[in-house]
Amino acid sequence: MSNWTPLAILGLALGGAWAVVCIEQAVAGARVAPALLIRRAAEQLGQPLAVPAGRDAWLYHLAPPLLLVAAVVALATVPWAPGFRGVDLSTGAILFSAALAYVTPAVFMAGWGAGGPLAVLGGFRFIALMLGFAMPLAMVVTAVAAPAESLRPAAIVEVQHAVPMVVVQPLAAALFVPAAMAVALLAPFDLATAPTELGGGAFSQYTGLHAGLIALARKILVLAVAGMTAALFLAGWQGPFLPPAIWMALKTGAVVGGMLWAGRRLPRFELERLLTLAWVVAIPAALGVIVLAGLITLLFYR
Amino acid sequence: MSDLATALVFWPSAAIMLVTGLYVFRTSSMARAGLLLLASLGIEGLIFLSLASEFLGVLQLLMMSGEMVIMVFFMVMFMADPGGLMGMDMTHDKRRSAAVAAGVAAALGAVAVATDWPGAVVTGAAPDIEQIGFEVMGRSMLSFLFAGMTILFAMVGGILLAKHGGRLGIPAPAGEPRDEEGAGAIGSALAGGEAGVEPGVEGEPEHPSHGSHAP
Amino acid sequence: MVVRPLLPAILVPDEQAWTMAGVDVRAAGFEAAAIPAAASVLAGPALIPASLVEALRGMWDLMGEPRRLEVLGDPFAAGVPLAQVLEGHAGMDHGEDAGMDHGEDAGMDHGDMMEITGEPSRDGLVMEATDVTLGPLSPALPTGLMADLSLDGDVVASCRVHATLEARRDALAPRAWAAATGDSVAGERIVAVELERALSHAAWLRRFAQLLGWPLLADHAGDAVAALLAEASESIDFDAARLALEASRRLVESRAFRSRTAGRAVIDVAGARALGLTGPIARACGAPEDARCRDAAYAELGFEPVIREAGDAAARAEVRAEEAVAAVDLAQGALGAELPAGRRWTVEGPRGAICDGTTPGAAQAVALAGGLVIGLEWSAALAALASFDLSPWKVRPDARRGAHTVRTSQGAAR
Repeated sequence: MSNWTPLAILGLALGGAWAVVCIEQAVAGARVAPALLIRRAAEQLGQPLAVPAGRDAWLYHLAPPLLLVAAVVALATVPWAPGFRGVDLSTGAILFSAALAYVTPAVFMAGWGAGGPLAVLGGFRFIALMLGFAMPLAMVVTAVAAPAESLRPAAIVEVQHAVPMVVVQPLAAALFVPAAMAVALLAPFDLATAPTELGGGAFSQYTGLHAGLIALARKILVLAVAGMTAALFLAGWQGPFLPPAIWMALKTGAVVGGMLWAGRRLPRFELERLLTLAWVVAIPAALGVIVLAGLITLLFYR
Repeated sequence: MSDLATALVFWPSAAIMLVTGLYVFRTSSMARAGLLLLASLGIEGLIFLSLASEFLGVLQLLMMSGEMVIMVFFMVMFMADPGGLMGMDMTHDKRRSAAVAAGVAAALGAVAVATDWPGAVVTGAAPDIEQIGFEVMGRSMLSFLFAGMTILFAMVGGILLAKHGGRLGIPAPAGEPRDEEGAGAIGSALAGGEAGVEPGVEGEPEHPSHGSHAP
Repeated sequence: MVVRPLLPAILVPDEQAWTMAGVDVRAAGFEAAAIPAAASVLAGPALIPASLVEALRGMWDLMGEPRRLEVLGDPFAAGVPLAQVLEGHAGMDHGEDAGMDHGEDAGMDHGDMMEITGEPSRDGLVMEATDVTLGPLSPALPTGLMADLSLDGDVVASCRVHATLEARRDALAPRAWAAATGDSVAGERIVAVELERALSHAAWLRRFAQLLGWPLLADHAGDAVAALLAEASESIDFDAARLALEASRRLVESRAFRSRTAGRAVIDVAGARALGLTGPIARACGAPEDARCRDAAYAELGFEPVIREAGDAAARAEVRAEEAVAAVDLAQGALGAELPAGRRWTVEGPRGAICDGTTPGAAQAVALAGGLVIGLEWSAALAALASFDLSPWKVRPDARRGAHTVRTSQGAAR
């Protein structure tokens, strides 16, 4: 990790968030208007902060920064290129899960701090959802780390030089992607912030700078989970002909587009159904994935 | 990390841990209590990181977030006045609990001071993940298994105790005191036959008590 | 179809009502904003009924600067001028209101905190009730419909729905009302009524899809709406409309849709008959109530009523989806055709029969809907409520009864 890394990560966060919004517009079939997005963001930041006469001012004000910090730290763990591996910790994959784990308290704090019944409901829905989904997320990360014999994301990318992990462990990918989408508050798992059902849910009471921070944090989250998906399952920067950074950008963009596209094609899930799927299907499957990963490591990667 | 950097991280973090830990008990809001505890134990993760124990530090950060959120969830679910706005006095049995707390603190302090801690200097390149893995799978496996099972039984038991009528959710007639319900719940749960709680069971038809609301 | 990015706006009334008034909100460049703070425009009516004024002022307060007003048309045709309402209203006082649900309780820190009393809910835990009022401008309900709910955790313990807008005729079905009270040739009448039925069902389906969080279905329904919103009946692109409606119908019959709607808010045949329900709600229960069956002109066009047995939310949606496709066919067949005049004391509007200046069964449906969502979780309850396609208009019948009231259509359609 060089001295430039924090600055580079911040630049990546801002530029990447803007790119995610552009992809979102494109997937929705609207013409992408890059300058318009920046103008609207500036407008929104200029709004005065309005504090609702709600439950808890401390938690209300602390939630957006916490969400932003969680998103940026998650983004920092993603390996982008052999020369720019982010925060290259030997436990980077666990740090990624840890950063994502702080999204849950942030959403809860936002909902609880605002105080309206629907906001609080959104916060609690998210807790219930993530209790079910956090475990498959972390377990699959372990399973993917096993063949690489390391928790360093760059090492996991390098072990995929022959075959991408999605081919070797498809069930792991099938568990990871929905869980990642749920953490990033993407449809069809956006129960906590449903625009029509909950009037915006957990984040509905924020204006001005807070709303801007939250919107930014959400885009960075999407970028982070998509980047890590590309790194863990699609062989990250590996690929012929093109420079590694370009491959990584293409794969991440494809994952972002795929997640947003899938979100448009499915109705929002109901909480009971998701909880049933998480506890009855996903967690046992994740345990099975870990066992399989062990077998695969012993058979093929040793 | 250099000694100075370690000290710069360690001492302020330890102070923050103590202060936030203290405030957990001074606030009457359930949500704030849980989140202050999260802050306290999360900062502990930073302490681990500063002491070159990368894996434990990151793991601490990861685990504490999930655990404290579950705790807040359960506290709001079961406690009266989760918002802390009615100023309920949550402390009971003050003298005895203070005495027990002081005694336990003294005992733990004595253990901490009297133990012969290993004095080896750990470098940043120590392969701690591998050593921890062998430790968990080998010597400490039994204690981890036991701890995990105990926590699971406590969670399930807590919910069973809180439900009227035990596992089957049959409503109690209004006015019955809650402690009797607890005993009755355990009794009916034990006598109920099948062991374990089926996950994801929500198959009950519309609750009989809501029949009066139907048009 | 690539469109320019739409400006998030607060739409008063909702998009469905604008569509029935003939205004294409998307063509004007707006889309419904998720939260008021994210909206910079209030796309409103020229005149607004008195019952919506307070809610509108609250909504205006929640929109942060910069904000502006844009008048898209006149769907209400009666009330206070909008500019006047907002001009006279100063400041951003939030009071104790937060969010789009005007007048709601702040929830868990009111009431009896020392003791959690009450009936245990479905899972055996006694929880405190939360009261939520979904106001007249809530995005989950048609504009003008209010719902008072009491939540037991996130399950609805009690619900009361009521319509707050009053008029002589339902503004969401202007052409059907004009056909019921005016004089027109059978062919023209059928074209107008059937096109309006298709438009109404498509607009409803779009709103339902937005509630379900399903952009794909919303896009298909929106394509159908765009195809059907044309100036003259002849210039409507029937094929495009039929394609979009067929695609919507396939999605409505899919497993994904059924997972959110099957088995919810069930009405049985006997109940429907006893309450005198009409329209798609009755036909979804198995009661073959359709005023078009007795019309010779429709019989000539080969009309068959769409009936389902289940009586749940999925059945109601399927009835509407299929009726919309059939309506486009009927309208296309009636265009320029010579048809027998037939009796037309009763017209089948999109929501039910219109007879003698009244809508039989409409008030009963509104009263019934609230009770049927008890015991459902919040999002399931909202979807079940939306499946009724309730009208926020309470029709005040004319004092003169008996002979059909002779009123010329007052330009309400366009």
